[in-house]
Amino acid sequence: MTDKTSNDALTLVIGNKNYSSWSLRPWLLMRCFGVAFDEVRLPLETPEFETGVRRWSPSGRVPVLHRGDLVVWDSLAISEYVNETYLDGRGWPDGAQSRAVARAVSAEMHSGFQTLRNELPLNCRRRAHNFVVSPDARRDIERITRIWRECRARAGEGAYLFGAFSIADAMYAPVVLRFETYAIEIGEVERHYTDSILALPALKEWLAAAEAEGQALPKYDAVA
Amino acid sequence: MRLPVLLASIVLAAAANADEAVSTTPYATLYQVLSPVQTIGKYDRLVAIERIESKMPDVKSADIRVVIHAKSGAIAVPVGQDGVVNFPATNALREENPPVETNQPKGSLAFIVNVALRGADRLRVPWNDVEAGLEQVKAFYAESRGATAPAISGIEVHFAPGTPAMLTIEGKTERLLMADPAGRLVVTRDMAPESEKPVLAFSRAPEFVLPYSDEKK
Repeated sequence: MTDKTSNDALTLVIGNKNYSSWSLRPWLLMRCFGVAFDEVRLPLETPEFETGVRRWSPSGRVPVLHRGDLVVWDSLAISEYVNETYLDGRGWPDGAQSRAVARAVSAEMHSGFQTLRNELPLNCRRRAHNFVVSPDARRDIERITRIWRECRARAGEGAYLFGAFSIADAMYAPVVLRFETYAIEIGEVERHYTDSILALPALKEWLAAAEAEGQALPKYDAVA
Repeated sequence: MRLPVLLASIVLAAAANADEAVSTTPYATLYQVLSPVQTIGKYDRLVAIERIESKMPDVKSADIRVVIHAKSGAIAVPVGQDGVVNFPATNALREENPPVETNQPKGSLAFIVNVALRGADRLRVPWNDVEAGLEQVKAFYAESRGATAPAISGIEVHFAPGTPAMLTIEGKTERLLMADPAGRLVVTRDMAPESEKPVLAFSRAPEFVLPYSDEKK
């Protein structure tokens, strides 16, 4: 299904690259698939954010995608729209079964792992040493690594969760960064997977921009 | 910002009405962007890569048409996969300065020139060869631009878009990397320690290999 009736450029509104894991997901998907877009970055927890987000986002949150009169909020909804409109379905893996599982693991990421998010917030600049993982967060980590191992076993070829890069990989990319920055020990299969995610040019671009951001949010920087 | 090392770029016919379906740019403007390329031939490990990119999400490289309207006749400039072009750069055209027409709205295209490493057609490349090429990048920058090259931390490999290309870094251990859907992946020096004498094994020949900079802009 396509909706290419407009020549309007895409605008993706995001938060700080250092902290906004939800912003990273659609941004990474679009960059990896070469979908051109303009970027508006609103610094979190500033008056500028409060003013800007009222203008751009009906939910008051980021990310949000604009194309002409169309406004799409929520990272998964943006990913689905981009997939339908610009990727001819390539955002999900081939095969109905693989697509079903990819949607399931993406939805689980979208709605779950709250403890992991709270205790290990995305903070690209941080390097935590000897970080102590709580039992609840450990359960989230074990569930995620199990998902990755099962997806890789199902995929066979390729290096991503379903072989070729997909929306599912974009959904889990912030987790890869959390494992890296909090030095979470993982197995060999998971390490191979995180190696490929960390080698994505788009992710490196994101990390460099995060490094260059001047704003620091103490409530996240104080972790570990 | 970490990016492939860029020689030059320009937005085609930037200041104009974006609603117009066709745009023109003076040839001399594009020639100016190409001028750094003129001296790259003396570096045996380097080659210039010229690309055209659209900022419109619907526009693919195959949709873009570029024509130089010279007095001697129209010269079509083919746009390949990944937007790669081979723009004719001659003194005769520079002096004539014909209009260069594209079928895209004004301001929507960018013409980009990168310095790339030669030898992208080989399937196995010792990392030492990569380092030798990156040394030439530094020398090229110093000579052609009178400037220090951006701090280079590795390479960005470009395969044909949409192909399931992979790269294995063979050192003490093996690291398997896979290109993103646009056909790109990055190998940084920390992934290929020289002490291990690593070899890059490509699953298919890359289109081109760009130096990759760690320098923040």
